[in-house]
Amino acid sequence: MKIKILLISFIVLVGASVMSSCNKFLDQVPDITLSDDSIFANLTNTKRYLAQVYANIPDPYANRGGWGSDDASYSQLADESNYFAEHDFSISAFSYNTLSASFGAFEYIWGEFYKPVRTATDFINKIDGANAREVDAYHKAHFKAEARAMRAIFYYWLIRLYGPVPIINQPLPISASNEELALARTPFDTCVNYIVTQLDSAYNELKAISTSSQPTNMPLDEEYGRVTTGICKAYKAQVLLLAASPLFNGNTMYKSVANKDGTKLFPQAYDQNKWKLAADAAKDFIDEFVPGTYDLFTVSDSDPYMAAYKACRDVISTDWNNEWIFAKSMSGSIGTYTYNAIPKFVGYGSSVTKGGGYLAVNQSMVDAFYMKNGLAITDPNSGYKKSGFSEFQSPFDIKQRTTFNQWVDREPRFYADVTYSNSYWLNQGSSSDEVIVDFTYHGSCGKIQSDHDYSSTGYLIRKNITKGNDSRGWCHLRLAKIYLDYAEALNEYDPGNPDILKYLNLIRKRAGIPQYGSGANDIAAPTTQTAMRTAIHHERQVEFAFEQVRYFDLRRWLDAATELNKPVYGMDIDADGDDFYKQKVIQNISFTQRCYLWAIPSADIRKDDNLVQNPGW
Amino acid sequence: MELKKLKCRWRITLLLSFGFFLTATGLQAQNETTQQETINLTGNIKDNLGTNLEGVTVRDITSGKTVISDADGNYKIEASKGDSLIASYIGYQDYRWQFSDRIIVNIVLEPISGGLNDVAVVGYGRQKKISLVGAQATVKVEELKQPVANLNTMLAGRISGLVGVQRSGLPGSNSADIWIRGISTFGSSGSGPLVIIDGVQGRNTNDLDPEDVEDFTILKDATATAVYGALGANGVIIINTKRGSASKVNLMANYLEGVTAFTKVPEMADAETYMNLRNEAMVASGFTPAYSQDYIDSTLDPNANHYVYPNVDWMKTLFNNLSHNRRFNFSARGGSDNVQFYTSLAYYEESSLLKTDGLQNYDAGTKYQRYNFVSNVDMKWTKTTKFSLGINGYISQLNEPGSGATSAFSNAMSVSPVRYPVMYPGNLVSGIAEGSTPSPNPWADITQTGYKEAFQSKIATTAQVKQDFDFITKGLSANVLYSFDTYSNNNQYRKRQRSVYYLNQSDPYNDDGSLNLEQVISGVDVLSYDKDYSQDRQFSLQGQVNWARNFGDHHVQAMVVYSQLSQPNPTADSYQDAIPTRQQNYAARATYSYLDKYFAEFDAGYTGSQVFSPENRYGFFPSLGVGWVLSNEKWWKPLSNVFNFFKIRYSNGFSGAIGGSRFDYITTITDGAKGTNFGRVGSSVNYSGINILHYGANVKWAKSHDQDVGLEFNVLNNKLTFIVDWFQKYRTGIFLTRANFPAFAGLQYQPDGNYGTTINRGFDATVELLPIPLTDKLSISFRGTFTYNKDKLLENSAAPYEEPYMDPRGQKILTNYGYIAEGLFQSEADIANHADQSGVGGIPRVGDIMYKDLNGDGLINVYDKTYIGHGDVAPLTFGLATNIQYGNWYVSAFFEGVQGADRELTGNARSPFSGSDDNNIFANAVDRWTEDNHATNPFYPRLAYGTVPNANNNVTSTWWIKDISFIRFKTLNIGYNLPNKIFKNTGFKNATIYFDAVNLCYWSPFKLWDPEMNTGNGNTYPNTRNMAIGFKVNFD
Repeated sequence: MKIKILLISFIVLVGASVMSSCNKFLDQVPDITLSDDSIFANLTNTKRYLAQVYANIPDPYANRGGWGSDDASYSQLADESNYFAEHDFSISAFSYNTLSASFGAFEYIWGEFYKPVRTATDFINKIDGANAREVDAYHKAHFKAEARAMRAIFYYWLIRLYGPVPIINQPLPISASNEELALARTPFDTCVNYIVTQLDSAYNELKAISTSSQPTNMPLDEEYGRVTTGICKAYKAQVLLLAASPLFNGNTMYKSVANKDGTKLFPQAYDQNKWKLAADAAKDFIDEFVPGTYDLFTVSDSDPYMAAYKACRDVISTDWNNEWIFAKSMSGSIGTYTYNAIPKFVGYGSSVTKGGGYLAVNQSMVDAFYMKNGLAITDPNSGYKKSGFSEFQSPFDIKQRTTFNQWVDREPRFYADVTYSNSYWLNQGSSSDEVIVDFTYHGSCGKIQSDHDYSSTGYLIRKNITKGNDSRGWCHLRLAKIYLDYAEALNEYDPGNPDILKYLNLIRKRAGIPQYGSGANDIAAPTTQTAMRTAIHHERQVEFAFEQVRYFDLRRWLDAATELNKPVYGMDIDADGDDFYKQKVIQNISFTQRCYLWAIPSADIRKDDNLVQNPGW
Repeated sequence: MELKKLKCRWRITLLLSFGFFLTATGLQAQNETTQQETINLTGNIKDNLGTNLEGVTVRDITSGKTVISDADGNYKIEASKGDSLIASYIGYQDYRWQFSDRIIVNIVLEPISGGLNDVAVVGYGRQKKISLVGAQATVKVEELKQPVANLNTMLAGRISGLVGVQRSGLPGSNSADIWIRGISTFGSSGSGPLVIIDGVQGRNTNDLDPEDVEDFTILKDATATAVYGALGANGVIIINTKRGSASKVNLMANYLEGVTAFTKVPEMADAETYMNLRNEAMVASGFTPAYSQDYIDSTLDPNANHYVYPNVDWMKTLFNNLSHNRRFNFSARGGSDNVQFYTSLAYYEESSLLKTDGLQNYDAGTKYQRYNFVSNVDMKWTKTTKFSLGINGYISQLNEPGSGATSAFSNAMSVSPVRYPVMYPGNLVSGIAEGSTPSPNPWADITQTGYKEAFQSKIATTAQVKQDFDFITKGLSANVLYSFDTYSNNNQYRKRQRSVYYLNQSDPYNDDGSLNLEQVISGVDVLSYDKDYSQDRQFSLQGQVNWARNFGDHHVQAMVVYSQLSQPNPTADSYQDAIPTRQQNYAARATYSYLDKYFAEFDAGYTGSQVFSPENRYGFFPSLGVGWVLSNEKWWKPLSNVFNFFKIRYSNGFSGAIGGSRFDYITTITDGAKGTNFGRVGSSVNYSGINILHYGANVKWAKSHDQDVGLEFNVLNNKLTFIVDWFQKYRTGIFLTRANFPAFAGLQYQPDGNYGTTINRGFDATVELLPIPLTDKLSISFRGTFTYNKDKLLENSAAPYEEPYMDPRGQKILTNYGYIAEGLFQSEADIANHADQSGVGGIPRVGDIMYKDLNGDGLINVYDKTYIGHGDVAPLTFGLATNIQYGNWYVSAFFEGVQGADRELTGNARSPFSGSDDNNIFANAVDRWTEDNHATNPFYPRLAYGTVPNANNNVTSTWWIKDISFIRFKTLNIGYNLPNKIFKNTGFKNATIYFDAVNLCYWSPFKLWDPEMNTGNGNTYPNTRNMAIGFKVNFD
């Protein structure tokens, strides 16, 4: 018995002592988790870290009428298109101007643009120390220039939305105190200078390593989407045009906006030289890169009208054609965009691709397209008929079709950009019946078919819709924009300069409509600076329809409060037959002075005592 | 079913054989005597804590001889064979036996239940109840036997200090959220208590059959929880399963059969209401109405073709009114001095109220079945060595529709009655497609999507050796515990997505008169196969040394314990997750008492967790408590007629809480970030990005400083007892995401740290009336509990707010943030005269909610939001249980109430027609503001259609904060104990027929759904009402 007790006691005591010796028990650390030292140890990881700088480039294909992934619905904020049929899309709050400073989009975009800024700065700080055996000097210089240029471009996108923003030179440490985090906004001109300087530096860094075998005006390793010398210069022209525009050039609306230390955030005196800087930057770009690197996209066809139609249709959907300067490469989200824009098509077989069909075009956009003869529909000589029907064959149709007169004999860009009722659909599948778009109330794509899969106006966006749904890039900047930027800036400081007409006409020529001038088929050129300005603005509206340009143009020109306060018109989608073709007000929208700049997210205003809010928020 | 029963029997046999085997091997030959004359009987008397009892009276009833036990608890008495003896001691139950063979009789006296010598469960041990200086409460599970599969749902209101809410009635997942003394933390840190089952943490209350639980204890303050160190701050629940006893084997069988029904089914709008209100909302929002009068008439016409004019009551279509459940328990309990055992087997099954489609050749019914078993064996290896082995576990099986039963209710509530018919002719699934995703067809989801089978099994084993070291020094003992638990979950899915059709609305009929259906989704009828599984394991090791000794009137006790826990994750997807989660805990306790009058106790825990950074790995949590039993003082004598017992106690100490996730202190990066594509069609490269995954933070535990003052007194001859506790918990260092880092810093994620502070004060009380005989047949008892707490958030690292009322600091932890509603705009003039409300997000119209302009700047915007409501966990919980015994009949009833909780309505409970058009609305949407009826306080403001038209009303405001207080008639048990004479010579000892009911009814100002559901729009599977009839027998 005693032995048994001793034995068990021994076991118990040994058991207890074994346990207390487990002092390594808690020292387990995962050894395969990447640490930040490993980033610059090899070329692959370096490239992947740099890829994260590019990651937040907006992808408008992902657009679903709100902000939450990486989409940007700027086209629906302007007078081009809308999501009114989708009652649950929060984007309408912009149109109704019922936003608060804590609106999700304000916070989302703010954060998503500042994240790559931080990553880029960190990248620039560390790339020189990258493992030289893996990352050679050429790559180091190239990557550094890329990070620098992208950081500048994100800043450009930030100031375009929010006005002056804090320029942050070094990543704020995780342990930063509240005082260290209390940054103030950087005055607008300083922001612009910073962006320009950074783009210049990036350009120079690229230029310095450019060789004939490895040119830096073309993407490295055929990786389209990477920063090139052209991209640096093109965005320099963008930011200078923004700085020259009425919104930021002598706009007294913001005269009282100042940091807490009294620093004025907006330049108060109008400076005409800013237009010159913008024009020079655009011209500089053109001189260096056109036509060697970039040129206007054209398609040859025996019928000049068809050639223009195809060129205007395909310039945006032909991936990285030589007109493209900068794009979100190979977006995987194209299906979202096309679903929004392809009509519902109830009643056609499964071979016909069907969509939600609610990405509607506003009547004002439809009306902006010129007539085939190059005249605006408001011109008494344009031949525009407001009512009635004609037998008309559109460039995409196989035969003549009864067409509402408003949509007859318009310029090629109209047919490339807009889907209208009773038109031939581009993708017929193997349907035995002709697939015809019908937006009338009881039509195949009409309102009765669904709760929200219909067009609020009786039009849908057609631009950038193709038969297939394969991934391709979304073009953020193309040469045509540089041309019209140049024309616009030149007209502001040197009206009458022949380059104005030259570049404006290059766009019209490609669009297949008569040019301004004194030739036989020409339209009389605008004679005054104001008339020329109107012509340029109008041309921009049409050429860049649905390309996320108009919203920023209207703001730059201080025209938004006028244009975006008009009711949105459309066809009467609650009607059948001829009644459908009676225009009616679809929605009243509102744009007030405060809308010219987005609100700095209220969360950041609260966290940072030195951060002042934009007026009206 | 037959097969199942056979399985049952097989299991019982197995368990029984196992039990008997142990009994047989453990039985040892007793010392025998054949002498007839008086001989010396000796033995030792202990209480059930193992303390030797001095002064116990041992009397030979036959001879009248009396002796008293000595200081070591030993006694010696002369007796003759056949004499009856009794050992008695104040505060303990008498121990009677008859002298037959044994001449050494060791006695363990059981304290009188509820009496002063009752034993209370504490961390890592037991103590005499009178010596407690911390706040602790126990419930005996005898009271809790109810026809539900788990214990948690039955506890709220039963124990003071415990707050619980039952969140769902879905079979297999009808558990409850439980908190001790409310919620003292926020952010990502858990607020639930630490659960210790049979001495081991990491086990789940729901794994046990209620019948197998002996007692359930909650430890409420730091003195009680300090020994659990960094794990104890949210309170501790200790559950012990039943163990054997040195007595004849008692077999128990219990069978019950019950029905279940929803406590409350939300009332949804019918077709007519829906269409009319939707039209009204659309017109009011500037849209053309969706339904023409013709369409409405056709829909409501019983003779119309309802495939073309759908009119569906989805609730009725999907749910039965009644379902059933069934429980069977069998247990055997008994043993000898050397071996004691408790073995049991339980079977439980419950079906849901979901209907099934008889046309399908598979079973998609929702049914939950579970087999629980327990085998607890204690044996003495030597006189001073005790070995215990406990094994318990379960296997369960859940069958449910392929799309899951949880979504059935939300689907049934979300689809409008006129959206599409249940099915189209030919059993074709009706529906609408949003892209490639069909909108839910509630009926098709539960009947056409296949089925899922979930198998779960769990085994928890605990082995313990306890050795007395009296031979080294008196009162010294040690024990070692090792446990191994394993759990596995295996899901098999046989799912499918059938083709979905929708009627061509403009051309509903084909030429031949059949329906012109459009296929909107192309699917398959074949069931696919898929599976997933998960496993858990844990190992725990614990070593403990105890020492207890009396020095005259001084009693000293000391304990040190070491425990470690390791939880590997065998099915982890990453190496990081596969590293076992580990923690270590050292704890110590020293108690001192003098004459059961003065008590002092020191407790401490020293916990290490690998969640913390290496320099912060261990935390120390000391605690001190004192108690004074005034009624044991001589000068109390005059008062003792009124206050038979009176004790005060105070405790002050620390406990900790672990927040954050593992390896939080390491900065990690991911190579799976979003990245980008480069290139163009035909030649492109994808770079997944490299990015910061987590910024390392020097995290450590949160610390709770607890203070508790307790008062215990008994009156009415100890029949009526009161325990009242006041407490304060001040918690610092709550793990949080740093909230004041501005977004322009460009961080991928906000860094973490110990930033939060809260304070939580309150009191809880228990009043218990021990059974009082009113007549010789009738007796009554009751127990009331009361729990109140008020928590407050003191710091959350947020930046300062523009206005003090916007600051969450100083507010309740679970409060809501929103506007204060001031009524409805009754005229355009009201709108014009009121502050500009466009900053809320909409354009206010007549009939919309008017908000208070808190900062008086004439604008209603984010600066006019403040903290409203208390949140959905009630500050005040009370319970009242009463038992009435009349002869062989008993009736017990239990009422639970909560007061002060509220909930914010969301979704279609708040905005009937915002967002998705297919949402159905609540039937009470008719209670609204209209042009014709300018109601001032309707349930809903003016109806609107779409996101933006609803934006003014569809925000958090006091309008949508609804009081969800309730009083629930939680349980009713009526039983009849069959008279003993019936079973004379049948082997039965006693038998009871009973009726049990749970969730009979409730009273609440909240009418839309059962107020306990954790939902802002009612769309979760509701709680159920259960009624059952059962039969229970005991036989020797």
